[in-house]
This record gives sequence, C-alpha cells and structure tokens, in this order.
Amino acid sequence: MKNKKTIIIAKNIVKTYFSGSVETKVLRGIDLEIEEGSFVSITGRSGSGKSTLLYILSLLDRPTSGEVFFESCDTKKFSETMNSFCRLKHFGFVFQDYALLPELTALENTMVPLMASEDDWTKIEEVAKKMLFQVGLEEKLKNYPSQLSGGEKQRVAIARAISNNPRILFADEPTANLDSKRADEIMSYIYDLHKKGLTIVLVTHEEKYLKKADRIIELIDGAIKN
Amino acid sequence: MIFLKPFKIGFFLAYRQIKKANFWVNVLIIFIMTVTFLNLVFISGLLSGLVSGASKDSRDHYSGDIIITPNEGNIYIIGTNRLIEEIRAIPELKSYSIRYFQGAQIEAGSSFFSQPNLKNNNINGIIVGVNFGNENKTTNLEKFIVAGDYISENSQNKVLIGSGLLKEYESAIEGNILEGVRVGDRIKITAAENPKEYIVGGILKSKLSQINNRVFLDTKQFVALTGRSFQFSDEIALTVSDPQKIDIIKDDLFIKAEMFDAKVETWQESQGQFFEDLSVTFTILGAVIGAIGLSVASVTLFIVIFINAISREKYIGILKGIGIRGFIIKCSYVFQSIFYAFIGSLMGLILLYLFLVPYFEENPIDFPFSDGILDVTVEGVLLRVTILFVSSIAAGLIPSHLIVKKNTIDSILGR
Repeated sequence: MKNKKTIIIAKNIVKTYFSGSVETKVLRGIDLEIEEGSFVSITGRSGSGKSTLLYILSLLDRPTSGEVFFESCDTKKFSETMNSFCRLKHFGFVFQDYALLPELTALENTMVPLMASEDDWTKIEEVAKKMLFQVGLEEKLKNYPSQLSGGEKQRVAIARAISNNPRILFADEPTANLDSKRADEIMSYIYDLHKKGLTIVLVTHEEKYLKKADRIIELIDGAIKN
Repeated sequence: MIFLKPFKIGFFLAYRQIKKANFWVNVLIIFIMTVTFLNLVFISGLLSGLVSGASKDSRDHYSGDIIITPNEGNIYIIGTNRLIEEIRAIPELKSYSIRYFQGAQIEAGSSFFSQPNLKNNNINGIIVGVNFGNENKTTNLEKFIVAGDYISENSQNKVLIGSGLLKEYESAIEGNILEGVRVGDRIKITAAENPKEYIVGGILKSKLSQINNRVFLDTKQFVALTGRSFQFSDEIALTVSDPQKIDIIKDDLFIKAEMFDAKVETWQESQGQFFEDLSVTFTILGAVIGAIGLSVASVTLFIVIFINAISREKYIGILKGIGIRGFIIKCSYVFQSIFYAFIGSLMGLILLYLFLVPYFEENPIDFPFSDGILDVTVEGVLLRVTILFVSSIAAGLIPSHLIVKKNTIDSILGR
C-alpha cells in the first residue's frame, strides 16, 4: 500500500475560553494527523469541541496551547497574512450557514478568492463559472444569495471553497440547515471532490455521512474517544 | 501591476456594497458630506467675504487703485496741478479724481430759507470738493444715489449729501444730524466763515463713511466757498487699466511725489494694518469654525462607517476566513468613505458654483460695514476638498481596522 503524505499534524491542542473568571476548556490535548487525500469525519455531541477543532486545523482560530503543523511548518509562527495566504491557496471552507456575501451574486461570491489569488484576472470569471457548473448552478450565476434556496447557497459555498483548487476542504456541518434530499445532494458533491483526490475534513452529526469517511474521530468533552 | 490588486479587489467590494446598500442611507451620508463641504467652504468664505467686501468697496468706491495724500506733517498736497500733469503722463491711467476737504457747518431750517417743512438745525461736517465727472469715473459715486440725481456740469449750485448726516436715513443716531432735509431743499454751508446756500441735488447712501458722512460739491464751488487754491488738494485717487502694474506705477509715482511732499499708497496700503488684521482674524475664525465642522463630519462619517463595519462584522470575518487579507478589506471601507466624500464634495461644488456664489454676488448679505459676498478661491476649495478626503480616509480606515483586527472566527460567529 502506498504511503500517504501527512499534511496536517495537530499536537496536544488545548483550547480554553475565558469568560471573566470562568474558564471553559473546549479541547483537552488533541493529537491528530491528517493524510493527503483522506476523508476525515469529526463527530460528537453538541459542545464536544468538534467545530472548534475544525477552526483550529483550518487556521481560522489559534489554540490556547499545542501546535498545528501544515506541511511540516509550525503554524504558530505564521503571521496573520500568512494564515490568510494558507486559507486562500491551500484550504477551502464550507460553513454551516453558507457564509456568502449578500451583496455579491453567486458568480461574484465564487470569484472573490480567485481575484485575491490570481494575478491574471482575464480567466477568473471563466474559472468561477466552471466551478458553479460543477455544482449545477449554471442557471443561477447572476442570482444574489437572497434569491437562492438553502441547497443552492451551500453549492455556491462549495464552488467558492474549491475555486482555488485547495489541498484540503474543511466542512462544518454543511448539511445541518438542509432537508435530507438537499443534504444528500451536497454530500454527493463532497464525495465527488474526495474521489478526485481532495482531502476532506468534515464535521457532522449525521451517521449516514460518517460511513463514507476513511476515518472517524469522535470527540467527547474535548478529547478524542479511544 | 500586482501591487494594485488589493486596491482593485477593495474597490470591487466597496462598489458592490455601495450598490447594494440602502438607497436612503447612501443619500443621507452624501447629504452629510455635502453639508460638511459647504460648511467648510461657506463659513470661511463668508467671513473672508465680509472683509474682502469692505476692502473691495473701499477700493472701488473710495481709494481707486492708487491714492495720493499729503505726507505726514503736511496739510495739503501742494502743487496739485503739476502732480496731475505727472499723473496724466502714466500710460495705464484710466481715471483720476482730485478731492478737497474742509470742515464746515451745514444748516437747514425755515428761519432763513422760508421752508416751513424744515426744522432749524445745523451740524458740523466735512465738505468735499470734487469734479463730479472725474469722481464718477474713478469711484462710480453715482451708484450710491438713493434720492435725487447725480450732479452734472450744469448744476453747479447743487450738492450731494451723505445719508449718514440725515435723520431720515439714520434714525438711530442722535445729535450731530440734520432733520427734515429732502432732495430740492436748500441748505447753508459755512466754511472759513463764509456762508453760502446750496440745493440738495441728491442723497448718497453707502457703507463707506467717506461717502456716507460727507457733503459733496463741485470743486469750483468749493474753492469759491473756502477760498482755497486749486493747488492745495487733500487727496488724489486714480485707477489704472492694468491692475498687475499697480505696484510699478505706485513706485514710479512715489519718486515723482517726493517733489510734492505727498504720500503714494496702493489701495491695500491705504486700508492699513487694521484691514489686514481683520482679514487674518476672520480667516482664523473661519478655519476654527471649519475645523469644528470637519471634526463633526469626520466623527459622523466614522460612526456611519463604524456602524456599517460592525453590522457587517460577520461578512468581514467571512472575507478573512476565505483568505482575503485585512488590508484589502480595509481598502474596501476606505474606498467607500472616499466615494461618499467625493460625491458629497461634487454636490457641494455644484451647489457652490451654480447657486451660492452667483446668488451672493447678486444678493450680498447686508452687514453694517460691508456687503458680505462669498469669497471662495479655487485654491481654498481644493484645500478643503483635500482635507475632507484625508479625514474621510481616516474615518473609513480606523473603524475597519478595529473590526478587521478581531479574531476571524469570533467575527464569523458574532462572538
């Protein structure tokens, strides 16, 4: 069996929130490795720390202690600009509530990361359209988020997340706000992306979506079970 | 042009935000910026216009471009005719007027003129001997006639009297003032113990005391009344066709006037330090008021952008989350501020040059010592536009910086 390259290593990740004198430990020493091309599902009860772990792995947040290595680089040493660069070029992120910009059309939402990463803007629109075609939104390019259904919004979010051809796609309960038909649709896009070689880190409650993961990480009170 | 990319993305985001923003919010912000711009230009322009209006009046209707007076220690300009020959030799000379002053007693009353409507009263005042034709060419004295007519060559026994000497026009003044005098009435002027009767041909009303508080009569009448020689004048005002050459002509005249022991001054010099100090004072006052207005506008814009940025904190977080650098996001807010400042200034400029300046040219504000015009210069306007732009950049940058520096996921989740 071919050895897969590890692209993310998390070592003894602790995340603590402080509210006045009250201290809440959300993650308690998480150790984790994510291999390139793998499909990792993170699950657990509400409040178990799965979303927090996802934010830390995707450099949206910093741990209170512990290290996250991306491509063997200690991200603790990354500046905010470097973090932005990583999120732009190497990571795609799909949020539970779609997180689209309301003043931009579906096409423009998909174009924004491309604008920031590409020097040649002549092909941006073409690439963004291609991404939206992939998720079946060729008829909705000019629609604003308010003119799209929940499933369509999430498809735009996926198109935006993969527009820069990232190394890893992080998805934080992407089906939570959708009915089961739309949720299956969204997950099928994510499975397709995985089949094409994209590393997926998925946070979900849904048992049926966990089954297709290469690896399931269950969190209980901020720690990995087993 | 890779370095332009952040600005291009910032511009794109700003444009989309403005386009999708509430129409009336945009109108309100632009209105605030327009009013701010006008406040900056209008208040200082009006204050400056007060002084420059008085200064312009003095130049146009009293001193001319250059004024010659006796040197200190002298009572008159001696050898006026010879000096006039020198003045006439100036190629750029447009007009000149020789003036003769004398203190006199002016009387009106029924006892000696059998005019029942006229109450017996008299005042002490200054009479001015002029050639009415020359004076009008130099200072447009006729403009100030409010009753009767300007005096022509053929009406030698008539005088013009300033309204400041007449109770009917200056009801607030008590004391040294003539009551009941109208156009066509006879008055008696006594100068150098020599009384003579004249008919009031016209009444002058001006904000210049040199016009308003004097009695004007023809030079020949003045000489006949006072016994003064034509050679001993008190003032010579002259205008030139090329205002750029005033200083050169003045310097030239200065050398010639040495012979006559006379003082030559430009219109500015004749107005003295007081006018200059007043102008500086009003400029400072305008700047202070403008600065307060600017601060208020900056704070307003700051609040508007800050509220906008706070209400969009989640979207700022999303932009950061998908890898858009904080600098680009800040650019987008600065562009929005600049847009509002630009449109506000543009509207302000349109209002200023299409309506306000022409309106105040036509309808100056009636201030006690001058007609208040709107004194706006292109340089002044450009300076204020620049100030407004700089403050709007700060008003866009600071709030967006405060939001951008927040933790990304906290912004997204609204924590």
